[in-house]
Amino acid sequence: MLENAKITPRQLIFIFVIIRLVITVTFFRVFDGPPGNQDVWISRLLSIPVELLLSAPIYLLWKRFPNQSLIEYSQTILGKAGKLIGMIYILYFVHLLAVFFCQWCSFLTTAIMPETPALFFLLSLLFFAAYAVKKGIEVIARLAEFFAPLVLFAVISIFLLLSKDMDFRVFTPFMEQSFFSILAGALVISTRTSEMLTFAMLLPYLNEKKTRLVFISSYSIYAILVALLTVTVLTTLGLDLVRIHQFSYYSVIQSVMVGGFIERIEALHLSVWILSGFLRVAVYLYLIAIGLSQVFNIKSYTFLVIPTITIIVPIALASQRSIVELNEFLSYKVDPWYNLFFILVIPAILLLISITFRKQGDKKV
Amino acid sequence: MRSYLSVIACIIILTVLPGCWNERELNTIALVQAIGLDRTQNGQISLSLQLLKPSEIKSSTSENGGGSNGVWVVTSQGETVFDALRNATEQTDRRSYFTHNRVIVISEDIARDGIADILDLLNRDHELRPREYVFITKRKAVDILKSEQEQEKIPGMAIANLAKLTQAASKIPMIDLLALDKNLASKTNDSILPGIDFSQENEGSSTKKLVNLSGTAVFKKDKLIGWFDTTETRGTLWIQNKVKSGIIVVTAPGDETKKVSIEVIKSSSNLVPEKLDGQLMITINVQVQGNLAEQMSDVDLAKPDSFNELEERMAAVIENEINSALVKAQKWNVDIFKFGEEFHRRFPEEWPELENNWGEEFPKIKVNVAVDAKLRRTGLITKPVQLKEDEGADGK
Repeated sequence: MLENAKITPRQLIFIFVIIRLVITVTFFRVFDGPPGNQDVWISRLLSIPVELLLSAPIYLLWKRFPNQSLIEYSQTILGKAGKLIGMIYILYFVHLLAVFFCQWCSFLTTAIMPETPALFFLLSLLFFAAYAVKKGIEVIARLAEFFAPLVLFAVISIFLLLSKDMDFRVFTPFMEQSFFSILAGALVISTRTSEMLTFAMLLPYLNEKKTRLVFISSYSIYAILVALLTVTVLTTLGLDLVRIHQFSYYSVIQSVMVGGFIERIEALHLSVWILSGFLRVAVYLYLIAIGLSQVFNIKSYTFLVIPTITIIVPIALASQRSIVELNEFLSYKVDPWYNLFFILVIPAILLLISITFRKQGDKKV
Repeated sequence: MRSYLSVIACIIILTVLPGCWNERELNTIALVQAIGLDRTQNGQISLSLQLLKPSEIKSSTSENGGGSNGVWVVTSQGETVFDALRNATEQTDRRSYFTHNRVIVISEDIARDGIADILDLLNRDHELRPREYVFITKRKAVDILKSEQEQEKIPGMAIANLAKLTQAASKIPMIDLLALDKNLASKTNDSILPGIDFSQENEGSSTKKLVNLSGTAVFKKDKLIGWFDTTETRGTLWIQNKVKSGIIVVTAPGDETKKVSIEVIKSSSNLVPEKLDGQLMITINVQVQGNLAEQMSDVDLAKPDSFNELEERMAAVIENEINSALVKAQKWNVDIFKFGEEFHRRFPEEWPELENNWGEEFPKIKVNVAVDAKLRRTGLITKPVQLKEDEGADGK
């Protein structure tokens, strides 16, 4: 069942930007995938139209079912089989969250607090995230609105602080490889955007029907921010060094040294990471809980939050064998195909079926 | 009931939130100021840590300068750098803490075998930062760490300040770990690092070791292959566009036995790669602006003719410095000037092939040097105090 709540387009944009950016800020693998050279920033900007294309099925489905979420209209379209689709998506969200927890723990235990057990990080985060989720999507959306300026401030101020160390000559030669490889890079980058499914789940809550604006500005803001991060990282570390750094943006921040007294400002990065990580966890936890309630037609989702956590924590702990495996899974050979199935293939099939069998949702707002 | 619950919740949250697992109080850690790396006779790593002695630093105002040192140097051995580092805990009662480390000193015998292996830990460990200054010493690194500096209580700090001050003369490079890593990661670039040394000074019964910078170590990939003197070093820095200031000494026009110093106030250089019939060429354009800072002769130099003459001599000196660096670098086949990157930018299509045999191509590059030297101002006086009269009126 949908919660009786309303969020503004701006809040939804911020939710998307923050939960997408949080991964990039830390697990920023600039050269993972083509073109693998200094032209990667073009791929970043090109990913805006590609992402818009990829989310076309989600958008068209929303037009047919403006008051239903992904999990609900899959049941409207497919009937009982729709419940299966819903469960698949819920498991996908659970897995995404578990992967995020792996990233969360591996960053904190590698770079910040190597002796703290991973379970401690997880529990302290989930405890508060569960509280936020129980308060509903409006609270989470307002949280995003509150965090967004902080995140923007951190990203831009780090760019400015590093500007004296930047060497912009790394961006020449321009377009060293073919345009095709740059486009392929944009494709890989776009298929990583599994967060576009939050639109499929949260669009029914929008108080104004400015969906196109939400899509375009979310992807644009994110792409521009990441292009800024790419510039920061590449100009500061240089192409060759970026390839060997696990947390390249963090390493860049470590090298901030201005005037002999503005240095050691990783706390800035850490605050961004923890605030936006918290938001990401809260959003996905909410999607899982509300999704479960929609599959099983339960009136309230709140009591599902704690059981969900008890499932996710063991999955997260069990799946973090080593950071090498995590890197392998997130590499451009595995992760994009895995995501593509959920963000494009299933919605496209649903759309086809709904068009063929003329299924329409309730258009009333 | 509700308020009781919230009070209890607050207490629980407050106990959890401020505590980090690895919190360490300041009095349980030893702040490392400098790291020294040597190799022992049997091939082990010998690591020296310069640890801050907080009690000595506190009392520094009451004492006068030298005498008691503000640091304690601990040396330990191990199979690897990290092994040696942890073995140091057998001697120190506090845990070493590296985030405030500023200086890494590496001995020449390690540098001859390659520094990449020992730098791995320094890049990998989360406590160390990419902005530490790296030095090479012909002596033992531990002796450098044990030497003193008259003005600072902490030699590590003093060495870091020395590195920053090298810009005043531009005769020693200032290289931090990040810059070194960039060169090591590149396929074509080679690196230079500043050399560090100490001089012994007898003061009554005790001898003092006073630290100073000397020379520039030149690396082929990560292996030391030779040393540059100050002329060659500044030649390198001109090409790399790293000269911020410095003094150029030329002979005075009109009195060839006397010297004139010109202070560099602004300098920039750019490299223009070319290719003519398969022959790689590169043109180094250097633009320098200077002031007449000192003349140790009694001729009147504040005339346009003399200024032109001085500009020419200045350009000749700079060209000479650049050429001396170029000749040696091409002889040793070390691309410390990043010529490879310039050719990569200019000829991206040919680059993969060039990159593969850069070792053969680099010594064959023809280099043109074009120096554009400008003299601007003369300081507070225009002519020397005791000016020589023009028309043979040297009656004194």
